[in-house]
Parts: sequence; structure tokens; C-alpha cells
Amino acid sequence: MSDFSDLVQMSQQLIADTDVPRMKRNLQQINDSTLRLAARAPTGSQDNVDVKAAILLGSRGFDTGKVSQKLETLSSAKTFEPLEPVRDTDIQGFLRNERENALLAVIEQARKNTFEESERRHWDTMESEWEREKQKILNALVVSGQEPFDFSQESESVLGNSISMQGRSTLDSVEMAYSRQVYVYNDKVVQGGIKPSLVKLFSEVVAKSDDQNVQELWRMVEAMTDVPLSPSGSLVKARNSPNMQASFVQQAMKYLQQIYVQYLRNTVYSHLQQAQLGGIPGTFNLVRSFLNVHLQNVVIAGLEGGRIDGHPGWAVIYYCMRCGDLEAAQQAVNSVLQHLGDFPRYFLEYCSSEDGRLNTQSEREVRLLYRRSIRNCTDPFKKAVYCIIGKCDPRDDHSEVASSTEDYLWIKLGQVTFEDNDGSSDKLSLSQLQTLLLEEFGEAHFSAYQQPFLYFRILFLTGQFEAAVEFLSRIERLRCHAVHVAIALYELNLLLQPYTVQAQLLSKESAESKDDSLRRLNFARLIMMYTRKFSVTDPREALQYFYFLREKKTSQGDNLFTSCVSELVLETREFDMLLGQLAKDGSRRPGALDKFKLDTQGIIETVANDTESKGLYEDAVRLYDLAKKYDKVLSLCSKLLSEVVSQPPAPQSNKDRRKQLALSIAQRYKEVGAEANPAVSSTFHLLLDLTTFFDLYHGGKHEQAYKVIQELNLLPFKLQDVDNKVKAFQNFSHEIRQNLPDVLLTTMNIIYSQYKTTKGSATQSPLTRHMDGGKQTFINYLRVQARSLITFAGMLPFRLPGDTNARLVQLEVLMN
Amino acid sequence: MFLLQVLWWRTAASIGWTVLLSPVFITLTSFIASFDFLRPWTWLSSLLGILSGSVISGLSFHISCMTLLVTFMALLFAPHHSVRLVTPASRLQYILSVINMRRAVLYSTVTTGSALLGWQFASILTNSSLTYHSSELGSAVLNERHLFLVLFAGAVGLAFSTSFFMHNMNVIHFPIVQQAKYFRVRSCLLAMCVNSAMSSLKLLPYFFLAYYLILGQSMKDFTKFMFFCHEDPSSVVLNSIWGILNLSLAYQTWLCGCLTHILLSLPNLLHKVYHSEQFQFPIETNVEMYSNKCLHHALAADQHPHLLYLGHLDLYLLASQQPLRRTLIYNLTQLGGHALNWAQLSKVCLQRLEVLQQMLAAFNQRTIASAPLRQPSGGGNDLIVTDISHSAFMNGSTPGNESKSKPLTLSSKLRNLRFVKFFLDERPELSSRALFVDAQCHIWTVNALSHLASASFREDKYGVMQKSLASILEIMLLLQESLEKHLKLGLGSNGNLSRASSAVGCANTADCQTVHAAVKSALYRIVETFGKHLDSVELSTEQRRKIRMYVEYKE
Repeated sequence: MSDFSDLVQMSQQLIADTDVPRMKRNLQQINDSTLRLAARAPTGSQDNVDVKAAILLGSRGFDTGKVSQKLETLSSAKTFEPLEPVRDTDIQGFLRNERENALLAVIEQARKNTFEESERRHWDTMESEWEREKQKILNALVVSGQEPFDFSQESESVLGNSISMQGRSTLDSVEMAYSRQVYVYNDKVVQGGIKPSLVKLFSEVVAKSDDQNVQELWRMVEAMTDVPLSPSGSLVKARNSPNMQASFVQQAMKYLQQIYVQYLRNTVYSHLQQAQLGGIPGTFNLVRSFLNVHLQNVVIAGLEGGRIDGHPGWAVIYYCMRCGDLEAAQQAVNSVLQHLGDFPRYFLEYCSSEDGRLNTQSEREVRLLYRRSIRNCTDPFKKAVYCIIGKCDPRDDHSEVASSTEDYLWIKLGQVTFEDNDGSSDKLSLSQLQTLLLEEFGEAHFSAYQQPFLYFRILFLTGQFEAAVEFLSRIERLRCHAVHVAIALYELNLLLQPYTVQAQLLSKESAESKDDSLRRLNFARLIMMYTRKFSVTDPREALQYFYFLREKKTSQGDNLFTSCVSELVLETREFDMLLGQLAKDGSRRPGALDKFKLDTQGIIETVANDTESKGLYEDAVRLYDLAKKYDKVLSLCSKLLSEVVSQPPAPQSNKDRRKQLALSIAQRYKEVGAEANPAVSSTFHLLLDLTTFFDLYHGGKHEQAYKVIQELNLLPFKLQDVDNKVKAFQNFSHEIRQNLPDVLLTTMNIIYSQYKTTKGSATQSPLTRHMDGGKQTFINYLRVQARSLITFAGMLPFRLPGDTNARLVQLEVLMN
Repeated sequence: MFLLQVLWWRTAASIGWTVLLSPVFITLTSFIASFDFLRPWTWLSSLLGILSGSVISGLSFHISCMTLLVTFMALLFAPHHSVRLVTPASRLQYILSVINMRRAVLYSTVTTGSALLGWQFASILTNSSLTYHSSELGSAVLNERHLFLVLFAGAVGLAFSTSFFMHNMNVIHFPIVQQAKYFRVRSCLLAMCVNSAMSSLKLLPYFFLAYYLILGQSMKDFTKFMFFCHEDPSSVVLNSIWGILNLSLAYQTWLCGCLTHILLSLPNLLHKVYHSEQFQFPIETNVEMYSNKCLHHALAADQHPHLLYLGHLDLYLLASQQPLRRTLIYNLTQLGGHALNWAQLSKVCLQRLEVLQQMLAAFNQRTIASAPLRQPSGGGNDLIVTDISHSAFMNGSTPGNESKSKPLTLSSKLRNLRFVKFFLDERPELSSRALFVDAQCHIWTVNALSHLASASFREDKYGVMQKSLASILEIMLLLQESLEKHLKLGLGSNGNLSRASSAVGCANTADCQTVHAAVKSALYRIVETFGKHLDSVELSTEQRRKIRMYVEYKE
């Protein structure tokens, strides 16, 4: 910003160029002269408003004069005049009265409704606009600021960023790799081939990195998404259906078992001496060896079930089951058959059942058995095994057995039942488990911010993908993983989403049904939030992400992809790169957007519309040009030109730039033969000509300017033309009319200067004296012209600025 | 390198035995030579006279001279032995490899040495020297019979040394059946003698012819000039028809050639027997001096092919036959209880197989890619050659390969000439042959791994093996797949290539097919041992399916 000293300097510069004599004034004097100038300007504010209204309405074809007259003639007096009293017997009168009353009532009602409606719409618009703004602000805030709670990660992420920051991109290497896979995927989708698995693609990315946690995360995603996909239909219903829930639970348990086996292996391999694994592979031996290592320090008093190679029988059975190897468990059961009572029978049934449930009779027996004796027994493994087989006592934590969160989760998942909950408290449904983990325990219990992956895993394995993703996305350094998990789920049609894109990132639809405990993730918002971070530096990548939103609608019903692209374009101003570029021959060189084979023209048009509504007319012109909306291009151009037509030309000025733009467009359209509305087109060309006229005038070439204005046929130069021109004036558009005062003044100036030169030359040059007659005629001719201009100005149904009129008259007087 | 001491000692021992055995052969031959069909009793008594010691002292000078010569030549041959069979790529290459400089020196030295041997032996046989003083002429006279023997011995030397390389006699073969050295030598000795007799006999007519045509006169002139002697005008000239048709001369000449050949082959035989003997490398050691001399060091000794082979042989033998040493592998270290021995061994072995598998896969890929060109011996070969020279495993294995590109850079015009083409064209089967230069090692590795794995089922107390079982199966299945593809592409057929090296009882003729068979039987061995327990091994679905095939004997 410039301060006063700059201003002073600039003003001095102004003076330096011209020969104007210097004038020194103090502040008071300046103030006075300002006031004087202000006073000279049209004073009546009412007047001013009228003029403005006339200009505004006139441009749209309203005749303000007539309308105001009509309005004045309208009188409410008649309508609302109290009806004349009617006599009781005057049926005619009574009926008329009633009818009119009814009419009036209806009118009144309609009026009221209209007011209410407009009021409501107004507020709606305000509200949605506010929502949008609010959203933007929120997104911007999320990007710019770290959450206040994770100070510990801040330094880490800063370090990570500084290392991986390459070039000008704000994407780090992992995000870059992700975005490459997104690009690959989108490319395949656009080409219409078989869609590759996004989970696989993203897993490849992390496989190269050495972040174990993230690799584990994707392995889990891969396991959990390996379920029979829901056919088209309500995703909410599918997600809540027993079938899908069962397969989620199954996959989750399988995953937990796999990582447990891996854990056992690692433990055993790192204690080979103690483990005595032996040469025979298999879960049974693995468990045995693990117990060699693990149970050495544990007091095994109170453990029942005989001994298998020196280890308590129930423990071996439990660990075999924990590894998911029922055959091994069966082997264990068989080797201590005599110590287990009735259990082998139930276990056989459990193994052979498909869904891991006993039949009703057996289950009842097991539960009874559990309540009577086993609950109080000293062997925690026995309790755990019974609980899993009979699905009883879901409230017990089995803390002696389940040492880790995964163990706990596994036992709980093993106890989940899927039939309609009959309200009995000793059965656990998946939604109950979900609520328990997400709401009752929650982030605080699992100290989620210290171990985000653990909490994510808990939520994800219990089928709460949305909550899991939302949680992870809250952590800056893990957000990219969250976003891509969401994308993968979205493409697999596994992601629950709210009905409106305005919703919170994580929301809960309470209306759906009472047992619908699932959260919804606002996918669109997540994507927009993520892309905001890099959209300025990497618009191409951002575009790829927006492509996922192509089937979504904004709250206004527009395509979300389009509106995102529009915003992106406006923000980055990478018109050429994103939307394409116009070549000299009028053909469009494709941009990044064209790769998606969508309705590129339509999108460009939308972007242009948005640009126009933001007031960026020059950009809008270019965009409309790209979208081949010639009418819009020309009318906008006219609007732009009309503002600067009368200004003196200067290099690098607004006028210069706009003129160049207009000229190039005019030339190209002429070559290509672009069709546009003739009225718009003629306005545009007239304005161009007027520009030339003013340029010539300012350049001191009055003769040529005079010729131009005569050829334009805009103004009357004979008295008899005045009427025609005034009529013709009604057809001119607002852009022309607006400039008319300047045109008039300038023309008058030219005529006056011609007059002056003619007169002056006559007195000086003896040569012209002989041609005096001609000169006098010419002077008369000029006077006529001036007169007709004055007449024209007077007859215009358009109020000229006061000083224009004054100047005109003054000049005309000078010529007489 | 330290382990080279082993090889030095073995060379020294073999030469020592040569020194001991050579006099025996010389004496025996000279007895046989002096056998008189008409007067066997006189011969026998003179034999007894020799044994009594009066004559032997006369012979001992000649014998010791000959022994010295034999030792010298054995030393010359020693560095030319190799465990790898190098097959030159084109005929030109082949010719160049036979007559390269280093070898030419060897040829000339051996020829001279053999001639000297012949001289000594002729002195024993004829009891005279090359020239003698003739009282009639009053000057030194050339003993042409003596000269004839000397020249023939030289010819045998030349023939032996050239065939030594041409017939790949320099390649050390490792016996399939492990025997004591004594028995191996004994079983080979007779064959060697017969072989010597036969080659001497074969050479004889050619030599006679050559002597008659050109050699005789020129050599006689040369000798006369050298020794200032004259020809005996009374004796029959040998390069005449009558001179040649001398039976006793032919017999003596043959005997002389026979002995020379035997004296040249004997060190060769002993060298091979000594060097192909198993060497037991220590598996682990606490002694500082041996800390870098363990089995896994030998297995990784890529710069010393011989050590490499010995290491692999030892590994194979210990895996298949030596339970005590096997337990050493399955054992844990005293400190920390890590399976260090196994980890080191398995790392080397798996890496070796992996390298082979990857090269095979790449080679197959290239062959498939270049298939429409119908040029199995075309440009693809250059690539594989460079690939191989990049790989550490193959480093230095084929010295001929580097120079191979030179003739290829000649103008194509020249190359298209039929004559030139004959020499420059690569033999098609050789392209894949380069991959299997060390096939023997791979076979040993595969067998050793499978033996170790199947033995671990009972012997492995700590489950050391279990950890790697998946990766062993994995690499074997992959290798098997690549090999099968290789065979299907028609690249692995050995053709007549191994004919030259197909010595009876030796295993070095390995190529794609034998490796394939070895891998297959190794897989069967593992599958057979583990049976249904293989289900618990972590394998991919595809691999599990393949293992299933083996379990059901469908592969």
C-alpha cells in the first residue's frame, strides 16, 4: 500500500510531465475546492437515483416514464373503498358485495403468501450461502491449523514434510504415490475397462514404504473389503443385514487370527531355544511351542483340562481357536478327551456348524452349564472357550486371557449373534458392540491419539468404517491414508454417506431406523478438505480426486464435480492447463479436464457462469469463448468495453487490455464465421468503432475522428435527421447509451475545434480570403451540425448529466 | 585365499604320487620292451639280473631323468584343470580357444618334454645314444632309429596336449559314487593304459606316413647339422619303403609312444582323483583361525569355482548322508540361541537358486519376446551374455564370452559370407547352455535343501528349518516353473553337446533337463516327508495348488 509520501510523489510526477503551472494549496483550500466540486455535481440524490433507475430499467426495455405514469394512475382508493352499505332486501347488491369481498380476501391472501414466500426464499438463500461460506472457512481452518491436541506430532510432521518436500508441490512422497494410483485408476475407469482394485493399487504404494503400521492398515482394509458386495439397493439396509454383518465379523476374525498366528510365529522364532518347535509344521505345534515360551512364568495353578505335552489342556484349546485353526483345536481336544466332560460333543457341533453356532438345544445346555459351574471355575481359558462356543456372558472381559485389545476384540466378535435381538441381555449384537466401542469406551479409553492405528483398527474391524476414517482423518499426518481408505470403500460401494453434502464430516441419520447405529461419512467433504491442501500447487492431482465426486450433487442440485472444478479453476487460475486453450484457428486444445470424457463444454460454461457472477468479467469472457458461447462473449465484451470506451488510451491500461481482447475476438470470429445474436454483435462492433473514434480524438486526429463518427450514423448531423436518430436511439443497448454523453461532447468538441480553426485560419491567411464564401458555408454547416446535436440531446428520452448539457450548450453558443 | 591351501596340498599330493608311480611304469615298460619271444628264459634271467641291482643302477639315471620330466610336465598341466566346462560359442571361438597363446606355450613345452622322455626311453631301449662313433667313417654317425623314437614321443606329446583341451580332459568330474582314492585310481589305471596303447597305435600309421613324406629327411638333416654327424651309408634309411617296413621298429615305437602317453595321463588322472574328493568343511567353528573357512564361506566362493564345487558337494553329502553334521546345522548358537548356521547356509543356497530362477525367467521372457523373429541364436544371446557377466555368480566363468563380441562387430557383409558364417555362427543350443554352466552346483543345492528339509521333520529339535520351509518350497516351485517353460521353449535340449564330456560315471553333464529332474525329485522328497502338514505352511494360493499336484502325484 502506498502512504502519503508516495501519493505526493506520484502527484508531483503528474505535474512534471505537463506544462501546467504549479499551484500551492493548503489542506483547507483543498477541502474547500472539494466541497465546491461536490456542489457542482448533480445534487439531488433523488434525481441521481432516478437517473440510475432509468438507466437500469431502460437497458432491460422498461420505459420508466410510462411505468411511473401507470403507477401513478393506479390507485388503491377505488379498490379498498368501503363498499357502499346494502339494504337487506337488495340481493343483487349483497351478492356483488360478497363476491367482491371474496375477491379481495383472495387477493389479500395471495399478497400475504407472496411476501412470505419471498421472505422464506430470501432466508433460504442466505442460509445456504452462509453454509457454503462456513464450510469453506472450516475447510480452510482444518488445512491451515494443526489440531490443538497433538503437539507431539507437530514437530514430527514438520520434519517429515521438510524432507519429502520436492519441487513446488505440497504433496509429500506418499501422497504423490497415492495420487499416481488414483490417476491410474481413473484412467482405467474413463477408458471403460474392468476397474482395477483400488485397495490393491493403494497397498502397492505402502508396500514400498517401510511404515509397518500403514502396511498393516491396508492389509486390514483388504481383508475387510473381501466380502460379498451388496447388490444395488439400499446400502444402509445391506450394511445392517445379518448376512453382510456376518461376513464382516467373519473377515475381521480371520484377520485377527492371521495376525495372531504371525505374532505366535515371531514369538517362537525369537525364542527358539525355549520353544522347542520341532520339525513338524502346524498350528498345534506352534501353540505348544508358544506355550513353552509364554506360560513358563505364568502360574498354572488352577488351570484344568489335563496336560498336553505339559501344558494345560484348556489353554492349548483356547490358543488353537485363537489361531483360527479348529482342526488343531480338535486335535488338542482329542488328546485330553477324558478331562473335558461334555465339551467334546459341543465342540464337534461347533466345528461342523457353518455359522459357528450351536443348535438351540445345545446352546441352552452350554449356557446353563456356564451359569451353574463354569463361571466360577478357576480356569480363565475354560471360561473363554465356553463363552465363545456358547456365546454366553458377553459382559465378561476375560481380562486374564485377553491380554491385548486384539484378543478382546476377537472374543467379542466371536460372541456376536445376528438373529433379532429379543432383548435378552446375555446376547451381543454387532450394533451393540459397535456402540460399546465407539460411544461407551470411545477415544479416551483407547487413548486414541497416542495410538491412532489401534483405535482405527478397532473401529474398522467392527464394521464402523466411517467412524474409523473420520477419526484417522483428524490426524494431520495420517489424513492421506484415511482419505484413500475412504476412496477405496466408496468405489466398492461400502461407504455410508449422508443425504446432503452439507452434512458434518461424520453424522448420524437418526430418522432412518432406531437400530441404525451406523455413522455416515461425508465423502465429498473429506475429498474437498484433502484437496484443499494441494489444489493450488497441484491442480491436476486435485482434479483426479474431484472425479470421484462426479455422481454427487450439491445442495443446489448442481453437479459437485463441476462446482469443484469451477472453484479449482477460479482459485488456481490455471485456465489453459485445466480447461484447455484456444488455438489461433479457433479450435480448442484439450486441457486436463478433457481426459475424463465428460461434458467438458458444459463444465466450462458453468465455470464461466461462476466467474461472471464473481465479477471476473475478463476471465469469464475467455471461458465463454472456450465454451463457444459467442453471445455471452460478445455481450460481456461489450459491457467491458463500454466502461472504458471514452478513456484516453494508455499502454498497459484497462482500456488497452480490453481493446486487445475485443479486437482478437472480433478478428477470430470473423475468420471462423461464428454466429451470434445480431443485436449483440452490432453493439459489440459499434463499441469497437467508438473505441477507434475516441482513440483518434485523444490522439489529436480530429478530422479522422470526425469522419468516423459521421460514418457510424449514430448522431444526426442535419436537423431533419434528428427525429430518426432519436427513434433509432431507442434500439441501442445500454452499453451504447451509457457512452452517449461522452460521444456527444466529444463530437461537439471536434466540431467546435473545426469551427475555430476555420475561423482562425480565415483571419490569418490571405489565401483563403478568396474562398471566403466557401468558408462561410462551412461555418454555417458546422453550426447546423451543432444545432442538430443540441436538438438531439434535448429530445433524447434519457437524462444526460447536467454538466454535459451545459457544456453542449456552451459550445454551441460559442460557435454563434 | 585360505582354502586354496586345500587345493595346493591336493596338487602336491597328486604330483608326489606321480613321482612314485612313474619309475614303476618306466621299469615295467622297459622290461616289456626287452621281452624276447624267441628266448624268454634269457629275458627272465636278465630280468633277475636287473633286479639284483647291477643293471638298475645303469637305468636309474634315465629313470630319474624321466621322472623329473614327468613332474615338470604335471606341474605345467596343473593350472589348466578346471571344474567348469567352458563351451565356446562359435567354431572360430573354438579354434581360437584351442590355439591360444598360453596353450601354445604348453603344447610346445609338452612336445619337447615328451621328445626328451622319448630320448631317455630310447636310450634304455636301444642301449645306445642318438649318435655313435663309427669306426668305419671315423666320425659321429646318426642313429636314425633313435631319432625316430624321439620324434614319435614328441608327436604323442603334441597329440596328448591338444586333445587334452579339445576333448575337455581338463574338466574335473565329480563322481556320483563316493569311493576311496585308491579304488578310484585302481579302477581307472587299466582303462588309462588301454587308452594310451590305443591312442599310440592310432597315431603310429600317421606318424610313419609323415616321416616317410617330409619329416624324416628334414629332421635328419636338422639333427646332422646340430650334432655334426653323418649318416651311416650302410644302414637302411628309415624314410624309405624298406626302412618303414621294420616290424621291430614299429613295436618299439609303439611301446615308446605308449609309455609317453601313460606318463602324461597318469598325473592328470591323479590330479582329478585328488581334486574331486570330498572335503569336509567345518560347519561352525570357535577357532579364530578357521573362522572364515566354514562351509558357507566355501558356498559363497564365487571367485574360486573349485572351492565352490567342493563346498556344494560337501553340503550335498552332509545333507544326504551325514546325520551328525546335519544336527550341527539344526543346532542353535550357544549364545542367544539363534539358528546362525542354518541362516547362513540357507541364505547362500536360496540366493543361488533365486539367481538362477531370475536369469531363467528373464531368458525365457526374452526368447518369447523375440520369438516372431525366428532367430533363436540371434541378438538375444548378447543380452544374456552381458547379463551373466554382470551376475556375481557367473563372474569369470566364461573368459571366451568377452572376446566374443569382437568378431560380431565385423561388417555384416563379411559375416554373410558362407565361409565366414560357418566359423562365426553361434551354435544355437549354447545360448541356454551359459545359464547352466554351474548346473551341478544347483543340483547339489536343490538336493541338499530337500534332504535337509525332509530330515528336519524328525531331526530338527528347534524348528529352525520350519521358518524357511515356505521360502524353500517357493523358490523350488518357481524354479520348476521356469525350467519347464525353458524346456517347452525348446531351449534346454542338450543335443550332442554333452557328448564330449559324457565320461562314464560322472555327473558333470548336467543341463536343463537334469536340473529339472533334480528339482522335481527334491520337491517330491519334501512333499513325501511332510504330507498333510504342508497345509500349515504359509504359501500363496497358487503355490498351494501346485503343491497339491505333488501330493497327488499328478505333476
